[in-house]
Amino acid sequence: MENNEIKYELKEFKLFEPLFKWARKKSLWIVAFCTGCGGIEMPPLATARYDFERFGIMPNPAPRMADLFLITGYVTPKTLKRIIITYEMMQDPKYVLIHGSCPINGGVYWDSYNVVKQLDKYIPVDVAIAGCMPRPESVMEGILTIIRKIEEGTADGWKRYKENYEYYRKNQDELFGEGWREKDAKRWLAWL
Amino acid sequence: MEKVEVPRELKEEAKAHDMYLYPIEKDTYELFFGPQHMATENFSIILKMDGSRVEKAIVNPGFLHRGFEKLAEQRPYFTNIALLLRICVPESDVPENIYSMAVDELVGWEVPERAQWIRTVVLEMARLSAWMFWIFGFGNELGLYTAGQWAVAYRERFMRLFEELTGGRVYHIYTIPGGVRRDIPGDKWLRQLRDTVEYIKAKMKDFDEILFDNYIVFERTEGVGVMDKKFALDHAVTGPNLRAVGIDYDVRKDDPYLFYPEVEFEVPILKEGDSLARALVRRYEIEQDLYILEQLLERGPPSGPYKVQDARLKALPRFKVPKGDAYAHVESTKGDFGAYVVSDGSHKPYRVHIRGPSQSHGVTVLENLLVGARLADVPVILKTLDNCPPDIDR
Amino acid sequence: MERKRCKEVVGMALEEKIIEEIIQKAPYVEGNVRRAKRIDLKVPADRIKEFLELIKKEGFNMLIQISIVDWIKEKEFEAIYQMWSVDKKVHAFVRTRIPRDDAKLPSMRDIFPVAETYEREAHEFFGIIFEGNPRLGPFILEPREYEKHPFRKDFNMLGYVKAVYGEDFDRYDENKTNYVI
Repeated sequence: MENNEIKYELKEFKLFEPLFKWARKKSLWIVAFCTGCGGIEMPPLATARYDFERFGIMPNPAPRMADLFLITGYVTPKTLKRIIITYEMMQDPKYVLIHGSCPINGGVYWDSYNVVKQLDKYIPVDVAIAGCMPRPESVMEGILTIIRKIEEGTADGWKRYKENYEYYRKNQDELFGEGWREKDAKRWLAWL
Repeated sequence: MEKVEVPRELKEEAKAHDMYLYPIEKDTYELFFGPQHMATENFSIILKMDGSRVEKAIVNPGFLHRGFEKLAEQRPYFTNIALLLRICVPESDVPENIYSMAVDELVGWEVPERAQWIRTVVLEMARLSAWMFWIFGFGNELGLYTAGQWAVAYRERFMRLFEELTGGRVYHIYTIPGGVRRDIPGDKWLRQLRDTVEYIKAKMKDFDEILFDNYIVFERTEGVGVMDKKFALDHAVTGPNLRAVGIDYDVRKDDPYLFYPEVEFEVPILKEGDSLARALVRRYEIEQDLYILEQLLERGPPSGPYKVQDARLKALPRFKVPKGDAYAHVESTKGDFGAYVVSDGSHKPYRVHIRGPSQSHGVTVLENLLVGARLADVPVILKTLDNCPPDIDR
Repeated sequence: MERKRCKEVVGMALEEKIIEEIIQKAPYVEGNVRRAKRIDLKVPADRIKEFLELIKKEGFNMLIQISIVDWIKEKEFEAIYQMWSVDKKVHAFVRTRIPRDDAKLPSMRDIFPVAETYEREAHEFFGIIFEGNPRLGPFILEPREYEKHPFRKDFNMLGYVKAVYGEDFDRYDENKTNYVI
């Protein structure tokens, strides 16, 4: 980011934009991180009944090789730290899909001290699916919405994260305290 | 870093072949078997490794903690069913049942027979769908992905039956203190349930060929993660893990509840206490559960009301429960699930304490069994203990 | 109806015999039978550890849970040890009461190794110190919530949530999320 202007694509490759979009939307790989309740509806999606492999989607353990992050269900602050680290490890362009009503406004646990109420303040969200728990057909509809948005060019969560980084960073630091990455890592090394 | 001396015999043998052996330097490193992993479900273990062997393990739960017990004190009795059932996600009928049984004991009314029959059938269906989910997890850790694909597809049949009965696939909100919320949708549902049971019975031999009779599975799980009787009783191990050590404890036989005294079934017991024994005990239990469902369906539902008829139920949000405390427990696929409810006479509970089986399996037992195992055995031990992280965190 | 057999008919002879034997060996205990397969024993706070050693020899060899109830009006904590006997198939509640300020209990780690986990959890949520347990500290909670000991009755959960997550914590902001289906 040298000249105060963020470059997303090189001018030379503009001709190939339709090809890149087609390749991106037909081969989304998911980070294998089962973050909450909704993880129980992931195996039916992955296996024979509501098969998502026909769209080219596959779960993958490494965050560096993935482009779609499914946050399935509620998020606690302890998990949110790992989600932020994983999200920042993924390469651009990356998309976030949240399941359930808990990340939208707290859901059933609206008065709990250990559940994050609005996930959109900490991580940019592309598509949210309401329900408790959303059916596999709803999740498929959400994935098809992301595919449609990639085609139109409006799936820009990663651009919003880069442009409004101070806003997200401010919210994260307010929740966890300043310098939370270094302090958290050192807590475990002291044991050894 | 310590230096480990090479034994003298190896040095002499090397000299005979014109080689020279250097002393090895022992160095340990820590490995975060963290929440972002396909085997553990949002649960973290911190391992101190020496090469590829584990020297020490520390368990780091708390990623799924929502403060259920404090939340349950702010909501009236009947509303807590919609909240508390999210404690154990694969079998969500078990927390509903233990809470309802404890409140039934506090209030002192008699649940009608038809409701008890329906509750037993729902519990057995939940057990079978949880067994199918366990086969998916167990097969994936060993690299046999086909067994998991079949098992989750068979589980979908149960999900469709649940949807017709209760309205939801995963979260049912069906068992309430005093009975169940709705009646069975008719004879067609019972016929479909019987067809499902027979279908799965016929498919068990496929699972045997691919998973339980497989030479690779035997090699990978025999002698891995061994427990003995004293260790198991000291660490409060329950469920199929305890039956794989040789102790005969099944809540359905020892402290019977609902319709279980009327059906006959066996409790499978093995003696070795390693991962293979734990997996095989679960395989025999699937057969016994299918047999129990067959007997229940043959007997047919008794006639009568499906909910208790009591005038107090008309004032439902302000339903008051007499003072006292009660403990109820139920045999789930993971172990012994219990609930302790304390009431002080008002319309909200004073204290609800849920005991999940993974509170003992997933913490002290895991930390002791992992010592000395290789890195590739860690997910196998984790899955044969059938650890469910929301039980620990609640 | 035959199903009642699981609750009443077998008779409470076994439970009463167990209570008699226990009271003979430990006369400071009060016991009574709640229903079939549930017995209730009250123990004063300073003799709880020797009582648990005694009851382990009597056959109650599985410690299922340690539940803590916060009676704020009487200014006491009640600790209930839920024990199960695998041979006799009876569940026992072993109760003690300790004062609420400066609450201390001896650790049962050397009798039942699983008590270490239960005590870590009770310490974290209620603030009771178990002497002899070296692993007390933040276990399920993070250090910021651990210092407040959230399950006590004087912890105002709604006020804490408003302080951490902002005043309008359960409102859904239409402008922020891009697309909801």
